[in-house]
Amino acid sequence: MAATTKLALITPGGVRFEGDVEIVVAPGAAGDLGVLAKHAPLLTTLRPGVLKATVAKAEGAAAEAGGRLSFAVPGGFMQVTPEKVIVLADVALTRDEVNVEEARADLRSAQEELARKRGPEEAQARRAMAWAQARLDVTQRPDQA
Amino acid sequence: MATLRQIRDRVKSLRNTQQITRAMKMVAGARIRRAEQAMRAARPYADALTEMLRELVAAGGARHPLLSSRPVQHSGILVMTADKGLAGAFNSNLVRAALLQARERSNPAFYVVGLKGRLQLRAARRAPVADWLLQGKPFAELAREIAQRVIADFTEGRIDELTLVSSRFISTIVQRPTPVQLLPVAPPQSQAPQGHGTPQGQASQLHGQGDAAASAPSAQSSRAGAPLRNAFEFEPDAGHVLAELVPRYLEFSIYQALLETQASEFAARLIAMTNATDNAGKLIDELTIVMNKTRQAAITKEILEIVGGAEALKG
Repeated sequence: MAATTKLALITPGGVRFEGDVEIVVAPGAAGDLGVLAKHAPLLTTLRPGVLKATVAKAEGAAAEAGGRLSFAVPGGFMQVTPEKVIVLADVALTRDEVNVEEARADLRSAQEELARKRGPEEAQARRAMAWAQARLDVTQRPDQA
Repeated sequence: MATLRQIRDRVKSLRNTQQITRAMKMVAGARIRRAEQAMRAARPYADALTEMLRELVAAGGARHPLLSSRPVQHSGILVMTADKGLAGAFNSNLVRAALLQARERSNPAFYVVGLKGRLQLRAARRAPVADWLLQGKPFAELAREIAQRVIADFTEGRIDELTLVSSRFISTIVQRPTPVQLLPVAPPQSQAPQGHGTPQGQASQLHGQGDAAASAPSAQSSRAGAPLRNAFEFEPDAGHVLAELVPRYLEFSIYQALLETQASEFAARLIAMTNATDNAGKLIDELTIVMNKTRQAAITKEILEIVGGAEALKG
C-alpha cells in the first residue's frame, strides 16, 4: 500500500472533495505535475486543465471509476505540504457535470476569437480555449485509462 | 365616528396588506437559509486562500502593487446595499455608515452596489463614480467586475485607498454595517484573528481545523524571525503566484461581502415584515372591536326607534 496524502479540492461553492489519495496530478503553471505523499512544500498556480487523483480507499461513486477522480478546473491555486494538498478553483466539474454542447460551443468561439485577436485579449481567448478543452477532456477520456 | 362601511373597508384593506407582508416574510425566511448556506460554503475557500496569501507574504521578498500603501490623496468608498427596500433601516444604515466614513476623508469617490444605495447617495449629493445592481448576475461575476474596476482605479492612481462598507451578518437578529479596508490589500496577519469586521478576520476565526497544524507553527516561527517550517517553493515563481493570488483575494473578499450583505438584507426584511404583519394584526383586532360596537349601536338605535314608534301609536 502506497503512502497517502490528504487532498482537499475547494471551490467558493464548497468543498468538492476531501480525503486520502495516493497521487494527485495537477495542471500546474509550469506543466502537469504529480504529487505523492511527503512532497516538498510547493505553492503553484494552475492552468485550465484536468485535475486527477487516485483515491486511497475508494468508496461510493469514486470506487466505480477504479478510485480515480478527475475534475475539470479553469485554473486556480495548489498548495502542497508534506501532509496535505489543497487545490483552490473557481469551479470543479466532474464528467457528469460538464455540459458538452456548451463546452464545444465555447471551444469554437474561443478558437474564432483567437484567430482575430492579439495582445492581452489573445491570452484571454487562449485561456477560454484551454478551459473549454479541459471540460471536453474530462468527459472524453475514460477514467480507466 | 366613522360609518360601519368605512371601518369594514379599512379592515379589508388591512387584511390585504397583512397577506402581502406575511408572504414577504416567508419569502425572506426561505431565502435567508439559502444565503446562509452559501456563506458557509464559501468559508473553507476563504480559509485556504488566506492561508496561501499568508505563506506567500511570510516567504517575503515578493512585492505586489496592490499590497503597497502610499500617501493617500484620493480615497474611495465601496458601499453595498440592497436593490429593494421594505427591509427596515437596512439600506439607510449602510448609507449612513458610508457617509460617516466619507466625513473622515476629503471628497472620496463612491462605488455603490445596490439600487437603494445609489438613490440615497444621489439624494445626499454624493453621486457614485460607478454602480452595480446587487441582483441580476451571479455574485462571482459581479465580484469580478467590481474587483477589476477598483483594481484599475487603484493602479492608475484614481484612488489611493479603498474602504468597503458592507453589512456583517452576525445573526438573523443582528446585522451591522461594517467598514473594512480593501485596498491596499492588508496582508493577513499570522497573529490570531484581528478584528471582527473583515471577511479575512472571519476566515481566520474559523481556522483551527485541519491546517492549524501546518500553519500555526510556521506562523509563530516567522514572527520570531526563525526560518519557516514550510519553506515553500513557488511555481513558476513567487512573483507570478502573488500576481494571481492578490487580485483573486480581493475579488473573493468582495464576493464574501456580497454574500453577507445579501443574507443581511433578507434577515432585515424578515424582521421588518414580521413586525409589519404583527402590527397589521393588532390594528385589525382593534378595528374589529370598533366595527362590532358601531354595528351594535346601530341595531340598538333601530330597536329604540321601533319601540318609540310603537309607543307613540298606542298613545
